Amino acid sequence: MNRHPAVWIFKARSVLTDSFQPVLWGLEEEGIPFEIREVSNGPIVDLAKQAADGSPLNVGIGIGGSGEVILHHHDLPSETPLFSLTTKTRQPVRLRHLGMNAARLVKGQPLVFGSDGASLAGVDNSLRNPQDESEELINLILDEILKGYADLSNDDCAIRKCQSGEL
Amino acid sequence: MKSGVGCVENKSVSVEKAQEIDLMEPTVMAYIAGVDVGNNTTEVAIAEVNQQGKVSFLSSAIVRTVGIKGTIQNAIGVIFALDTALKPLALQRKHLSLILLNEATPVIGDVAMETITETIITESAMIGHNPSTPGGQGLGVGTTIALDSLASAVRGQKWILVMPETVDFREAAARINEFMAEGKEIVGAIIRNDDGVLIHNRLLRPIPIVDEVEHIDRVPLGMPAAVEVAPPGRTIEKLSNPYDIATIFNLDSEETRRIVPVARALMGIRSAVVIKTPKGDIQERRIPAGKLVLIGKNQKAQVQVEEGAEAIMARTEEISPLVEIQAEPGTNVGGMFEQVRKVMAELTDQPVQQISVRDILAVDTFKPQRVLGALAGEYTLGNAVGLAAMVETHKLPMQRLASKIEDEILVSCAVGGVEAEMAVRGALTTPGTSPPLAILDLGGGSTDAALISEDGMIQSIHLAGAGEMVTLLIDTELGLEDKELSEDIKRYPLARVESLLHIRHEDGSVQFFEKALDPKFFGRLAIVTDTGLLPLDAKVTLEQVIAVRRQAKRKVFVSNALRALKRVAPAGNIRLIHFVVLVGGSALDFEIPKMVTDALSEYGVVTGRANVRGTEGPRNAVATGLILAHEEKRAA
Repeated sequence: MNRHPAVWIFKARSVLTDSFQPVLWGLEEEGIPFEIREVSNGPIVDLAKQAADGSPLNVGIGIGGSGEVILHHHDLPSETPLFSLTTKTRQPVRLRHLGMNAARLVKGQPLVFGSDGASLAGVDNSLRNPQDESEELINLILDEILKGYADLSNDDCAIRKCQSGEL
Repeated sequence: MKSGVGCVENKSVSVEKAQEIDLMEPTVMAYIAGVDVGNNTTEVAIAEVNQQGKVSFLSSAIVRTVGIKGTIQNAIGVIFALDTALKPLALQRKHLSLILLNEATPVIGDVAMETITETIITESAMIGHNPSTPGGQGLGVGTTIALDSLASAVRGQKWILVMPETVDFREAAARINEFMAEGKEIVGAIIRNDDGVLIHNRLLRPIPIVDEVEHIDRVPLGMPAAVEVAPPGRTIEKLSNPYDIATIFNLDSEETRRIVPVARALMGIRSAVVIKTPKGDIQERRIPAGKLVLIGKNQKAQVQVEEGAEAIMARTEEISPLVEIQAEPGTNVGGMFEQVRKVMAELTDQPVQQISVRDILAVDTFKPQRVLGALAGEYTLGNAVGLAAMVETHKLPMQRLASKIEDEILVSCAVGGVEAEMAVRGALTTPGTSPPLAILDLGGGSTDAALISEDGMIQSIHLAGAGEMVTLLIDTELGLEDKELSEDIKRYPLARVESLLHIRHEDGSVQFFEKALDPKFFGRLAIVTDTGLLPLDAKVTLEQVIAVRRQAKRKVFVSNALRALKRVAPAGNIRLIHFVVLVGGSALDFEIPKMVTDALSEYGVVTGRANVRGTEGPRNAVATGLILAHEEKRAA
């Protein structure tokens, strides 16, 4: 496989390209090239991760023998892919969305989600950024204030609260 | 905790009666609380007063105000704030010998938005929208036609294809190719699905394709139409120019004038369709929003709201000093004024007739409006005027609140001095300040200014328009219709989520994360709040949001700061004020103080944020001032 900028798609040997055609249309509509390679059967997550790591665009898709489809990114740990579709959830619309999202990851554009929120796999859903413990600590303290009996020896807290309170 | 002793005592008494403190009769040591009930927050300061009348501040607290300022419900917030401040001191409510309440300025503000222009398009004549991936590029001009009718269509005419969602893109491409081979000229397409690129890639001869058109069934067939798609990174050139539209459709000058709102709505986007319908009409009309009657001390004037903010404020300036502002009954603006007066009347137990609007701030703004009968959810920007009105009465029933608190916690509670004077006293505990000095209180409901002269005379003014007005402007201009989100946009900086692991803040700095962010954030804008990221779903760019946010803050706070200072300045000349101290919640904003400082530096005024008692920042000025003033009075 050469080093053209492309999303890499690793598929199990038994899979026909027709079965995941909507994924390719999704990529095409978004204008991002892809390359398909057949690999020996293995865990699909690994296929997807290998594809992502190999792709010059850092985005890879793995397609398993029984039709599962997984979208992976170079930045993500192997065990937590971005999206995965099982044989049950792989309707054409969702396959198309997965293809579009692969392209949008490359373009840095907002991803598309089906009305049912698609199938997020393994990614932390909380809105909070998992930045550091001090943040959590601050939240704990804030909660304490809200509960009613604040420890006012922490002046910053009062100010923080009022920042969110007024203005 | 804070032992604000040193910085406080001297300052406080230096205002007027420094010597008299020493002459004072010895009193028992006591704990006193100062309480400031504001529109949004309730602040408390607790101090110990010793036998010599020396004031030492022990703690402070801040909580959200419960209920509308000046109502009995406030008591809950006050008691909560007192408990919060007492807790670290290991004191109980009964240890307090006195609670001092601010004599809240009976000022209530309200904000409203009046749309003054409106675009009416009958028989939808345009589609101006921005699908992320249209197909092809260039301009195609022809007659709209359905796919099935093409077989029987005559040759020698140019066609614009209209395709519903039922047509698969492969079939569509194949049939277009067939028709083209037959010699039928297809010059553009309008389609429902997000298939623009897919169809384009399968055509033998490329045409511009506008996709994702929501209401494809409303596109009239057999009408002259133009489709334009710009190359990536560019915006359409022809259909956003009224004269080009006139050229395409052979319009006369009257028709061209009418097409202007369409051209304007299509500016800055990548793809668009314009259809000429025989009966279709486009009008931009001004909506009568009513007129304002400005009654000044010496003269009287009228101004129509639809003349815009500039005209209103100019007239207001001419008439100033204002006594009252009336609005034409039965109009939109009349309704708004009525509402503010009614709330105030209920609050103060006074007849509505006795309540009058004392100040207004008008701001020009724009409002995205959905076009009636739109084909793809397009909108136009209507002009609007944002109005903040302020009502003043004799006195808020703070005495009632004081009795209520007394009943609840069995500590004597008194209403202290006038808010502005207390704020000045509190602000003067900022290290490095002394009279003469002006304070600007940038609040949520009103912008206040007070000036203390060298001999201790205090002058103050309350003006309409503050933080809530900024929120309203952000909400309107970005078309969010979500006050809480607008509030967050006002309060926090923005960032763009550039990858699953990093964001770029609006100042360009990059922050990485250990764990991947939620893919819902990817490629989007996010508000960087204290508790984490908040996604911003609206279809707006980072630059737009920042521009709107800053403009809103500038329009309200900079103009109000100048207006307020002019009123209290000697001879109305801001240059004669040398020092300005900013207090109030909006003084904590991450960009408002800088804007005000920049604007005032042009007048040679030194401006900075207060640091009440050297520890509180721009907060707690009134609560602090209440205690200081009380002790001074006793000394006297």
